[in-house]
Amino acid sequence: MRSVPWLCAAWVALLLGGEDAPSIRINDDTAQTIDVAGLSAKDLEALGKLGWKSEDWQALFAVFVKPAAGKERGPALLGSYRIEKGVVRFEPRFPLVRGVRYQAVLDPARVPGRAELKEKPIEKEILLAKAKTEPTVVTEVYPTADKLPENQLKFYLHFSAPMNKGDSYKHIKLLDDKGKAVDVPFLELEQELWDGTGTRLTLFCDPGRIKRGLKPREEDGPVLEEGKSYTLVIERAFEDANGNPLKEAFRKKFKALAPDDKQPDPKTWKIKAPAVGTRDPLVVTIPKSLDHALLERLVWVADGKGQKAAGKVTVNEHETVWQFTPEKAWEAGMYQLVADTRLEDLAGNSIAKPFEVDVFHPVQREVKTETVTVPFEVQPKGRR
Amino acid sequence: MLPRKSLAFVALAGVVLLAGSVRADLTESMKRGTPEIKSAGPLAFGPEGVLFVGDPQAAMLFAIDTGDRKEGGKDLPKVANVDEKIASLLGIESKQLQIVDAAVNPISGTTYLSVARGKGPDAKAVLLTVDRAGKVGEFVLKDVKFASTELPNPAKDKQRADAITHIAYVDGKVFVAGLSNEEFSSKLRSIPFPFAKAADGASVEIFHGSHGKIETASPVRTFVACDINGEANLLCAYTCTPLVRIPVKDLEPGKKIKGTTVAELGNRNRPLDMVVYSKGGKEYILMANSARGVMKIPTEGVEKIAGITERVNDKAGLKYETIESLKGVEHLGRFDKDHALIVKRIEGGNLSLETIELP
Repeated sequence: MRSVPWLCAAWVALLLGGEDAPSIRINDDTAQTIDVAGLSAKDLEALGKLGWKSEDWQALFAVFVKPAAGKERGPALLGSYRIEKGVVRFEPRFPLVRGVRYQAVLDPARVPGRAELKEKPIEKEILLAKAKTEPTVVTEVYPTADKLPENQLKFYLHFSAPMNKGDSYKHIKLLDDKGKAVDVPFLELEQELWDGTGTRLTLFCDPGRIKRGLKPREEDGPVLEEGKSYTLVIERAFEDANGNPLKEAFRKKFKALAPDDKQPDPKTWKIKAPAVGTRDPLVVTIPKSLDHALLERLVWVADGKGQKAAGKVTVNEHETVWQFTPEKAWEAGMYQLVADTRLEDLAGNSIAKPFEVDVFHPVQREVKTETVTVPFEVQPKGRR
Repeated sequence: MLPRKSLAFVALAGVVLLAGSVRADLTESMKRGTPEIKSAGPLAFGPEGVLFVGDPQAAMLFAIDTGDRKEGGKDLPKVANVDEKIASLLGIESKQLQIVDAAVNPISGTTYLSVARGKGPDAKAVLLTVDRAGKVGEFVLKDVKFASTELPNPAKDKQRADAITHIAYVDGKVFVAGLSNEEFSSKLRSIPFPFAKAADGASVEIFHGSHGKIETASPVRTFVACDINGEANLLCAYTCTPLVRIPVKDLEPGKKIKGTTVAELGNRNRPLDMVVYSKGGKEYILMANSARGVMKIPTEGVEKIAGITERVNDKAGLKYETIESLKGVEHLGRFDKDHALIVKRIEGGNLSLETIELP
């Protein structure tokens, strides 16, 4: 029985002792830290005394992005080094990316006192498995109508999941009726016009070709021509934020009608007032399609006191029907349908002003107020 | 009454103190901390090593004291495959990297890069430095002196966002050009620096008057401050392609600003960056243009151009020459009075960071 404590002590000494070869250990499945294990307490103490900077540590132990075949390895990953819990611990500055191959390289000979052991450098590949995700699809392209004015200003592309930015224009094409791509039809901005969630992209048709009297239009003509048919194609190769292509390409066929230079006017909208005591939607029918995003954001209902009513807005029928379902049941009385004058139609004409203001022929209206209101009444019970 | 000698001393000390405090004013409004920059946006340097950083996702403008105030020597940086090197440091593949903007600190000659690590909506904004020797490192935004301000009228909506196309510091103000991802509007904002407590700054709508007849909203994709006959002007490149001149003094809130067209850049031109410089006693603009390469535009007589109002004549407006040897330039900035900094894509596909002599 006296030998048991001795055996235990020996076993513990073996575990802690420098008899183990140094090795690279990846911590948990996110590799938040990567350790060098198997160094003796003496080794760690000696290392701790050196006051090494990152560059010095990198000679001992570093992680690299595995270079493509035939290419040279780049500089080591930025990160911090510390000695704790019996290991040398490297914490990458930024989390490792799933699906990217990394190489952790350890050169034990760099540890003071280990050079004579003539240990060879150790390499370990790190590859965090990419999560399996559903392929992303285009859920909608606005405007949804298949007849658009020749001076159509923009498209909104909606995706089912966040997308990668930077190469969008390469994967969006506008084809004419012969299947030939229109040359650079969209405004290509380095900044790309994504929303905060990365699921909606705004595409502007080249304003230099829509606006009359500018050189691009003189040289290349308008983007769309009245009477012609087109197909907007969103290619499958468009990558989502996981680096995967779309499930399939998306095609929107449409025909170009005459250009539209008439400003939207809420006074021409038909308002169907809901029944009192219900939460039936207020239904507003608009003579022509308007901008989808602006319809959702720039139109609302105000009560008799001018307070914005809480509720849900939906836009239907190819962006010609605006509906508002209140949170609370309608009370009898006067309400206001309020529209911000920045609300645009498909050609960028707003309530405030047309897309192109002809300063010599001011037949167009310029509305100076910020909003335009149209009153409607929710009739009390018994009155129809 | 103090004896005269001590009075003089007090006066001198006063002047020194005053000079010191004028310099300190720029960073006085700043507090030490960790600025949370949510998205990588454009960069611009102010005086004294103050770096302005736009954050489009958060609709914020940051002013960071880089502390980089020592003159840096004479070396000119040259980094081949800079995209691979940066990607390597950040632990990503180079196709997952976006270099959003580059700006050179005129004091030290250190280049600062605004970079997105990743291309999705959660891409991390990283600020990097490239010194004159070509060494690339991270400018860690931790425990630094900084100030920030909300860009005027930010939408509280996750969908509505303003892209920031360009920023520049001119005479105590930071100019921010942007366009909305919903309504077709163009805002040029001027924000006084040091930042005031409340979100301040004039917002003007920019219009283009085509031949003085047809007026439309005109987003600005890039601009440069230019002194014309002693008056500060902004030369702005519109997304619909005209190059226009706007006197800075005209940029008052509420005013309808119509730039004077000084050149029609024509089709498929995507001006990326512009630099103003002097050579041989004359002033020029060097413009990096994605389609047409790099153009050199003399500005002589620009103030005399009353605005291109007659159509089609290519002889109207400023002339330009294309610098054939400079292709694939994605970023262009001023390095020093004789050099520009460029980040260009070479035939093999990688990016190179280097300087060129201003032509």
